[in-house]
Amino acid sequence: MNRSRWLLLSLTLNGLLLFAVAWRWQPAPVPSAPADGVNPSIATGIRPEEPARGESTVQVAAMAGEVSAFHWSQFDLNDWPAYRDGLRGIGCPERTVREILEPLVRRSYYEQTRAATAPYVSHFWELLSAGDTNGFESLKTVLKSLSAEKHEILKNLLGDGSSPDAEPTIASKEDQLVFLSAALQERVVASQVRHQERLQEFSRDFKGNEKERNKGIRSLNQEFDKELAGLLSPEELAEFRLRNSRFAGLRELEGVELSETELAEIIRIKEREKQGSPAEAREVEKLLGPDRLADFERAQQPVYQELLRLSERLNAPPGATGELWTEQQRAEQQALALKKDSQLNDVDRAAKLASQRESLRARVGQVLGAGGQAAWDRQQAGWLKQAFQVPEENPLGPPSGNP
Amino acid sequence: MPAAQSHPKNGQPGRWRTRVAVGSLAINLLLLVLLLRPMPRRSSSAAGDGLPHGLPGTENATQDDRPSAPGLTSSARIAMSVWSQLESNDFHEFAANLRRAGCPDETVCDVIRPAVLRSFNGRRGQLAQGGSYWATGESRRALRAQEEATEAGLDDTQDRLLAELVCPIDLFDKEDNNFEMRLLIELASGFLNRGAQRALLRLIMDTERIVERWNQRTRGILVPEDITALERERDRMRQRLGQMLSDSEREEVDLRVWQMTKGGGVTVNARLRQLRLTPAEFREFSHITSGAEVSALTELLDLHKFLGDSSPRLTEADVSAQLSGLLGDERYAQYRKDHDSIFVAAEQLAEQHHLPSEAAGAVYQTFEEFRAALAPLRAAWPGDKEQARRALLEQREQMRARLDSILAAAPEPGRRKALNSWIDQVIQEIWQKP
Repeated sequence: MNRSRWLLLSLTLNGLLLFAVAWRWQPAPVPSAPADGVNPSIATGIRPEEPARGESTVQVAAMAGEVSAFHWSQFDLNDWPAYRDGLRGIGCPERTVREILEPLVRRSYYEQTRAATAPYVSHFWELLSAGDTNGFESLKTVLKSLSAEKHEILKNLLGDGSSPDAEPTIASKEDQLVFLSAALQERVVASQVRHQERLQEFSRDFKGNEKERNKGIRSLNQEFDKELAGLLSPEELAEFRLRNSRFAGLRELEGVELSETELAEIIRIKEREKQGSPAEAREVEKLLGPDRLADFERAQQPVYQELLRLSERLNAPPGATGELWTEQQRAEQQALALKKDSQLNDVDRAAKLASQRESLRARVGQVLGAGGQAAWDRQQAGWLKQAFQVPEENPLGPPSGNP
Repeated sequence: MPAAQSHPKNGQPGRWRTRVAVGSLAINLLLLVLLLRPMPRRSSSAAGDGLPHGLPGTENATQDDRPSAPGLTSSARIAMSVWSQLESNDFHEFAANLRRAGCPDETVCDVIRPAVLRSFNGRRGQLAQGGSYWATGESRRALRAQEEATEAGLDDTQDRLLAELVCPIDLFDKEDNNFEMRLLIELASGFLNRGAQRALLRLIMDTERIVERWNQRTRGILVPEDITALERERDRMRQRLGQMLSDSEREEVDLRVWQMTKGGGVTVNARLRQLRLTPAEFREFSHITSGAEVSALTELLDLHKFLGDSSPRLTEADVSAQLSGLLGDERYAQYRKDHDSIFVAAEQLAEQHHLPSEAAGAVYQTFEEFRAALAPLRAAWPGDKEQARRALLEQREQMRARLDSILAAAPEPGRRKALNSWIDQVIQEIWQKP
């Protein structure tokens, strides 16, 4: 072949190879939405990945094909175990598998519930008028049986519900434990759960007298304390005890300014001393001083806290709460005196109480305004009724006892 | 003609041809290399590549970062690829991906709704961690106000998001641990078509949510603007109810709810059975007796918790009159007696002392006469108190003597003391409810 032909051949090969390279290296097309809006496949445009060790290009291509060909219709929604396995097979997290299957099972059983209940629904008044208690009891039995069957199916399908993502049975109460590290929080919560389970088991199985029962509970509590002491440092344990004290709610008190140290000390005093005892009062007074003690005691009154909330809600002027509280206390004392006044007859007594009540309401209106007074009326309706109620006289005195 | 001999002038085209041939050969080699070379990986982080982005915290992940590392099996990589392509930390995108993949709408909501709730609950949980745990007084108040405002914002955002995603919380999807509640719902509303029943239950849940929110925000304190806003909410609920149920359907649901919650449920007591009511009479009986008190459904939907009770449909006098009309004189007299606490107490007294059955009737008769004698004294009270007290004591002694003779047959010792205290209790009751 002469040189010209070789050149021609080479140039032709240039053209062909150029075309082949251009075709191979063109970008992947962007998928367009089909007319019905449902794209039968997802994730198109994924190029096949590099083969992993031991994988061939064919396997990689098959994998990419499977990913791009996925459609929910591949699942048989009526075959729950297969559906579950299919969901797991596409990498669905276990929690989501549960969130998909549980409502599905519930909805299915709801249909059965509805079918079982239908005759009772349509003959509701007939059954009641016939006094057919047995009929409804049978229905309850059927529904309970369906419910039990449903729970069994769910348990077989998904386990007992204690998946890794499940919430612990004692809520972690983030604000009570947040001062601990995340790992410690988990361990403390686990310890609390175990303690609760032990208490429940003890209560369920215990057969003895009250004294022995209390002793048993105390012993379990001491065991729990020891377990906590093993988990937490002394400072952490002290803080845990404060936050879990039955007096920890004192931190919610408004209308009194306490430092964190004072509050913590008050809680410790209340845990240590008998509630309402002179010793408790002495120690708190020593801590706060007489004026602040009065503020603290006033703040603990539910009515005072209500008035605080009311003033805040109404954007009342400063001092409004104190004024309202003082007026109410005064009115309450005067009403009590009226109720005890044996010189008054019932008619006069009722009239004076009504007049006193109206004076108080007028005073409240001056402090809070007309709209505020209406809100006060609603909030304090119970207190008003109790404070100004005319006592009903029993002409024969109180009953002598129960038959 | 002999082959052209190379001539200095004729050699140039030959050299040119050679150069072209060499260049073409080189290009061929280059193109062959390009053709046979493997293609480079593509990054998935580019916007607009059409791929949904992955789990929270992996927004900048590239295909290289996805779990496709060597060492995982193909199946595992397919598994992770499919779900990770669907999932997104953008809930709208997540829902759209699921729907594009053919996921049924209900299942989309089953997946998205808990994810939304978890996300918002996580944010709510973080609120609890802000600020000092031991803050008191003004600091506590400021902290609480801030938390409440943020929480209210979160609630609104969550509801709006779920509404956009068309995934409202549905009573049917709540775990039905409360078996009795499930039975109540079905018996009370199961006669409605499926759509109306779901709509009603959704309305109930929405109303409960409104009550909860208003409770949190107002802490029980309502200012006039709150009342206005609540009345508007109530009117919206009423409008929704009117659109989903006809008046007769609404009345039937209301009546059944009343029967199940306040009317004795599905257990009809023996006294009522003795009246031998037909189904229509029983329904009318419930309708009349429920007229004196508002049903639980109406209490909820009308926001009684905030706006106060609306007046019952019927007064007690109306109820009595209508029942009398329904039952006729004989059955109504029986009904009144059976529902009179004095008669019930008289029966219990006779049973307690092992007396013949007619003794209960005699005891009751005595108290009825006493009640009639007491009425004028009660009406005149206080008037001349001492005179009234003397008359009352006299009546009491007469009643004791009569009851004593009725109960003389009772074998137990200590009867007299029990009887005396019981009489005083009954007197107290009659005095307070003449």
